[in-house]
Amino acid sequence: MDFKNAAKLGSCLSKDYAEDLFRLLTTYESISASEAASRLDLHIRTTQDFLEDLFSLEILEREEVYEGKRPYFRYRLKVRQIKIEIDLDGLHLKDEKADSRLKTIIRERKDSGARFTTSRSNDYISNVVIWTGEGRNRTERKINLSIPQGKFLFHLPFPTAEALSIAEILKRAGIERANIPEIIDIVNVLIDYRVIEKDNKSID
Amino acid sequence: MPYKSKIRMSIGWIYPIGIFTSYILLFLEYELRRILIGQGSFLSGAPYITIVLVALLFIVMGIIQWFRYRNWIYPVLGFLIGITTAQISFMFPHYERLGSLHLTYFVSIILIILFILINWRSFYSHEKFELNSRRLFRITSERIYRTDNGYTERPYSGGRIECTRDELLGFARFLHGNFIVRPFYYETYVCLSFSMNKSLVVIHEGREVSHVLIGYDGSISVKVADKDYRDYRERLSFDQLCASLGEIFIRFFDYYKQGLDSRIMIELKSGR
Repeated sequence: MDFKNAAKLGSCLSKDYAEDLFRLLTTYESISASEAASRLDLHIRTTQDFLEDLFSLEILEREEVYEGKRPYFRYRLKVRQIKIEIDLDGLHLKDEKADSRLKTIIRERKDSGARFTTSRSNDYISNVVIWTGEGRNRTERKINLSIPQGKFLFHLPFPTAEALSIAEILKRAGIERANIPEIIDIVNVLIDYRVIEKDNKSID
Repeated sequence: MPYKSKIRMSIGWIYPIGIFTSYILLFLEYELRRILIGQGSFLSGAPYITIVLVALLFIVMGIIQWFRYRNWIYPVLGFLIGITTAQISFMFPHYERLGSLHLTYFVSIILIILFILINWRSFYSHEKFELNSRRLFRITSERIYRTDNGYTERPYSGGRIECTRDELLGFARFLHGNFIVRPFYYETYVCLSFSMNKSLVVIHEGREVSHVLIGYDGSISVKVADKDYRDYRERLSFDQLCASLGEIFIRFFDYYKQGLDSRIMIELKSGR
């Protein structure tokens, strides 16, 4: 199960009416959202969403039925056991994928408006402060950096300098290969916040 | 090669320009009053308007310098000179009720002299630091022609020098002795600060202004303050500016190591 589905299932299971609904699903051969809602004294929309989530997770199957009125779905259990198994290794970038990202050519974006704080030892950036939104909605987002991330940003080319590949910056900063996933993570975040810009050129 | 400096004029130049202009105004006002008196107007012959304008010039300049340098001695001196100048209008011989005004005028003059004498070290250090910082920024920008704004608050990694701790400390003391930078000593590095804006006399931390950090391991990082960068007439390529500043300090260190200290001042003074 991937992380998103596991999170969705976890969210369903954490509902205080989840056990009652599952009990109904195991008791009834098939059940509609309105039947379950009236049985448990819940809002029909709440029940409908819960059952739809379980359907999308392939725990339930549904059947569209017509009984002289508008069509509706009847749900029945597809599985009698639920196992949550998450491969945490899959969360970080695979080596070959990370290697391809290392060829991305980047530099700091002009007028990014970000504020960088240098560490006391002055050889890495300790945090980046970014402002988002306009006027009253303007909010400050502070990102504390790990030391390898800080060293990487310390050596990031200036807005007017020639952009460099991530691999080249890693080399200049003397960062080890084990830190590549966290570097790529912060680069992606800062690209999203328009602090770093990608150059159109790429190394083949 | 254009001879025009890439850095904006120092604020101190306003004083001679203002004083020279005041002499012209003084003459014009005096002549105008003479003509009006000749035509029968009941006017005093003293050029009060010019005197008040000059007094205001000193006071306003003192306030402007406070905002630029954050050094309290400038607004205080500006205020003292402004008040003293305003009193000149009472000193003209045609003024009938002098009374104790002579005394207050001379007391003010004595106060100005005392103030300058007591704070002479601050005045002298500030002026020398600013002059050399301007020279430093001039030679930094000499070979930069690309104009493209790109200011960032991040420090620039300016390379590495081969040095021992003693050599580095000696170099910092030499530059300080010649009022080129103000050094701040830290556990792992020395911060060499310089500034065309905030006075080096009043800062408590080297990183408050433009600086070059040299680690005892020889690593160099450069930071140009936003205010100093804005003092350039055009938006010079920021990375090149920082790189050039780093190279200058590496070259100065080489001169120092080779015993060619005098070259540092010669090179600084050559900046246009």
